[in-house]
Amino acid sequence: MRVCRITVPPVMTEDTYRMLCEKARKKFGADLTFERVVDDRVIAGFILETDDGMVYDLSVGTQLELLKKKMVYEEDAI
Amino acid sequence: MNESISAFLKKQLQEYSFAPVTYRKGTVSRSADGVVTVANLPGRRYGELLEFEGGVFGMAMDLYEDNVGAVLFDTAESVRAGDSVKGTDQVLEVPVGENLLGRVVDAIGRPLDGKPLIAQEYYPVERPAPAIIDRRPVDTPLQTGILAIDSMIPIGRGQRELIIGDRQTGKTTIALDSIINQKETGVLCIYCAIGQKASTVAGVIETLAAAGAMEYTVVVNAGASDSPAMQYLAPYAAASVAEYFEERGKDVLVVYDDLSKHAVAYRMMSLLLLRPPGREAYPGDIFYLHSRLLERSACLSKAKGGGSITAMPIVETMAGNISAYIPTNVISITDGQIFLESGLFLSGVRPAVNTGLSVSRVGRAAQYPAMKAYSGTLRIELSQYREAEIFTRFGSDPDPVTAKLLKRGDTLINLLKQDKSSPYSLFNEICVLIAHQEGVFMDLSAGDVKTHLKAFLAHMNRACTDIANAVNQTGKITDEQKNDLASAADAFESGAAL
Ligand SMILES: Nc1ncnc2c1ncn2[C@@H]1O[C@H](COP(=O)(O)OP(=O)(O)OP(=O)(O)O)[C@@H](O)[C@H]1O
Ligand SMILES: [Mg+2]
Repeated sequence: MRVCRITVPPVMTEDTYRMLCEKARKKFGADLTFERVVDDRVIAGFILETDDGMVYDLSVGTQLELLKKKMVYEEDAI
Repeated sequence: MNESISAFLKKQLQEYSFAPVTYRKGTVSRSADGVVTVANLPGRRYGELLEFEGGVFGMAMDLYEDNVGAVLFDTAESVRAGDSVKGTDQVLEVPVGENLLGRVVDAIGRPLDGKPLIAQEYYPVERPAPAIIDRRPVDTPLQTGILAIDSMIPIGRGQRELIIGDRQTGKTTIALDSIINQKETGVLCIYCAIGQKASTVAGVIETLAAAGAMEYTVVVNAGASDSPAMQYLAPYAAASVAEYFEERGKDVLVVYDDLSKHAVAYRMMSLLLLRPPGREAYPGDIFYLHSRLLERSACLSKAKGGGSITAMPIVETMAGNISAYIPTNVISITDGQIFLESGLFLSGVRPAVNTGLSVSRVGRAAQYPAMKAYSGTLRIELSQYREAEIFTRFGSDPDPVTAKLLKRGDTLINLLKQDKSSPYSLFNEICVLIAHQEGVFMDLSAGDVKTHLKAFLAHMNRACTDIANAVNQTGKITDEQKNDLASAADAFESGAAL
């Protein structure tokens, strides 16, 4: 049994979550079970971690972090 | 002001494209003294940069079937077992470029002098050494401004000359004087401090700044309180910074101060990584550690731009034992060594160069002709003097010939003494040798030589300005100029009423 962890924001509805699991099974295999983690740092979107150590981060929180880094280091300053 | 900020933000948001972030993730299973074991990290690579929780970075050093041994760059306390680790798919890179000149950075290129650093480019820390066909023989001198070295142990650009000696024998001073002497020569310098006290490094920076040498110097510092990984990386980072300039046709001088501490940091790291210890508990690849570093110093062919990296590694010995493990390793990799002796240093012979045990295996070919003309017999003279000196210890009265030899040797030793931070120009080095040749200071006591030498050099600079300029610019001297200098020296001798 392979376990996939999905980190979602508190605002995500049950329907969206179920749809998400559906899509993940289609991509990674029908035998997947899911561990649901709720984290408000995600803001919107989700983070999916498969059992082989790969992380697929589609969260708005991470994107905002990236945008912040890009703006701060705009001039390549460190 | 506010408008420009909001315009900037708007532009950033408009240009931003949403892309999913995919990465590999593992977990810390063990963390101790800056060394961690990471489990379950897929697709691991040697040398990969790893990101830990809290923004701490590390590097994969040991790959096993189910885990990775990694070293941390920052303090170890923030990383705990169970933390997640991101694989970044990158190897460690450091900022390089002209902007680093005059700056002090740590082993991964972060500025330590409180000012922002804008990097022109990034180079990996580990880079291959230039291939054989890309090199050319060493042919240009690198003047250190230290008479004892430039005359008897000359160093060429692209050479690797080891400075070796016990603690507190003036090793760092020789390296710093060499850096200071590169002013107006176009040679850029890099001083890499490994495992040194912060106060010592601060002193070094102050010395360099006071001499106006920081403008063309980069200081890379991994201090005694930094993690072993930082100390291990510092010299390689310094080499990458140097290579940026070398590839652009510049001549660079890199000082590694010192490789004994580097070896100790690497030993600590290796033991914590549970690698099998070898002789003196150093790991098996300790030789390769320094050989791959020093092989990166080279003299590039004209086709490759003709740049060069001269390396001055420093190694500390215990009780003058140059046949210990690390010293013999580094001696065998370098093109010669300057051996400093604490006995000489304590008896006031400074720089305390033991000319008998010091050699330069390639620099002679690169010595300036003007210097060659006067320095040829110095070594022999000194060794004859040492030999005769040992004999006289038995108490016998020396015959007149030996007495003269002793007196000349004595004076020569005094002439070779040189204060720190006061390098000579090529012309002045030659003047001192002329003074020796003409026997100008033969009748003086040791204390008087120093004061009279100053007056003598001032006299020579005044009396022979044209020759001084010519010699300093071309490095050559004609027979006519030689005669003029000899008579100027004689004029000083008769006029100074010694
Ligand atoms: N030519 C010189 N004339 C006068 N003093 C000198 C000379 N060279 C070195 N010294 C003094 O000797 C001391 C030791 O010098 P230095 O720090 O260069 O030695 P070191 O071998 O690098 O020491 P360490 O082992 O601590 O790194 C310093 O106080 C320095 O000022
Ligand atoms: Mg020192």
